[in-house]
Amino acid sequence: MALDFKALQKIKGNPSFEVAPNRRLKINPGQDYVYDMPKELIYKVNKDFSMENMLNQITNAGEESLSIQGTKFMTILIREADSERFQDRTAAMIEKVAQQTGIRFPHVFERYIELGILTLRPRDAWTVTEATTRTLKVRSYDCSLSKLLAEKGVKNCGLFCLAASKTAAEKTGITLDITCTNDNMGICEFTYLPQ
Amino acid sequence: MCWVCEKYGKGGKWYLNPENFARRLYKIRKEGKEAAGADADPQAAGMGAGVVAELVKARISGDREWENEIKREALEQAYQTHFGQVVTLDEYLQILDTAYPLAKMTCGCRRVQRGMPDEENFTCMGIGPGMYKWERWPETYRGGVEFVTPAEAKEWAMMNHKEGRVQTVDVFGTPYIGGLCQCEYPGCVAVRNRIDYDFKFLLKGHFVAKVDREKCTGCKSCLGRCQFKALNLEVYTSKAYIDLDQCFGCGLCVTACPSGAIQLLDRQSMPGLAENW
Repeated sequence: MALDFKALQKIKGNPSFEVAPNRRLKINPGQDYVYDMPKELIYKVNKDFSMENMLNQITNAGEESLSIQGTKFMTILIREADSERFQDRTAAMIEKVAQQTGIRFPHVFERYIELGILTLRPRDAWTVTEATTRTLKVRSYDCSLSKLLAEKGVKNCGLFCLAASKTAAEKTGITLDITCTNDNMGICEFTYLPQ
Repeated sequence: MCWVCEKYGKGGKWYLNPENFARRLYKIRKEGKEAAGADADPQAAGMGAGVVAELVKARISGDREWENEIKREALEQAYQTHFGQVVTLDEYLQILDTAYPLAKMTCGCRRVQRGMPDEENFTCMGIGPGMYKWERWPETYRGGVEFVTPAEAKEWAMMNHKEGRVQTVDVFGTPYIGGLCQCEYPGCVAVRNRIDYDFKFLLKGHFVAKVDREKCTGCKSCLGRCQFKALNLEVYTSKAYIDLDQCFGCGLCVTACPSGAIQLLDRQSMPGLAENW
């Protein structure tokens, strides 16, 4: 046990008391918020970031341009996701909680990663396998972007996601150690560790 | 290991596996009911409260087969969607480093069962990404929420432990753990249903408490702490006695003992209890 009798005697306080002034959030009666990602964000991001153009550029310029494209994609996504048109209550609450607690990882960062996946490959299967204040792991299954790139002879598709992730991390103001594991059987997992 | 560990523990305890706390923040917005989140109201989940009236009828009628049928059907559904398990304070504190975000909230059970006013009822914790959407369920969260850091949450958990509440993990869509409760009999629907009706929405923990009779002074400090009717004072020795079959392994008696006479032992180490969840 973490506590014994003596240690427990030193614990003071009432669990129902507010941790800090103004920390308690109350229901705003009559408000009807939206929480999920609108399809319009997919249309807008794909209009500004053409997959066809990207594939052509990579065919011409080689794998190195994957990083440039990943950065470009995430820059567009962040611009749109944070615009007044596409801001949602989930984003507002994530930011509110980050301000109240001082903890910005994983969710301030994770939001951009998730919206990136949903806009770029909305039909793909993927999941978050760990999301603590120390580690974030995002796993994709049969990534459609990876398949498209493979058809063009590009093997190192992770460069795109790595660059996109770094751009999201910069925006969030967090330095991350980012690694990617790919089992070549269709499962790819990115691990993000704050430094 | 319990059946949940075998299925979702990845070799360890299922409620210490980070995968069972992780969930996506976003999905693509749909129209109508689902968009409003009416399908997943945490309060509506209810830990078996919805079938208790029928269970009482069955018990009054004396029809054990009917009672067992109600339980079997309800549990089949519950183990796929919403159930809980007792954990120790130590495990609870570990979980507070694994789940995020953490939000103090009011207890729906105590509100309904005991009429607790919201401002005195912040004994539950909503955890995980679903809490960013807490305003979807205004009745559940009518007392408000308070997002806290892991350090603040641990301090709060210890206050609850000191006050004598059993600490549990609660599933919302197996195996996703979306809530941490701290409750007591008879306020807690899950504890009450388990004790009064042997309704296994709440599973026993991985430990059992045992008294060292040499150390026990018979001071009775532990007696009021047990929420599961497992603790008694043995009349002929004036020492604490724990019915291991009734013990849920919460550890509340351990921290109440000034002589350090009570210890938690691994349930699996006792053949007669190993499958008693």
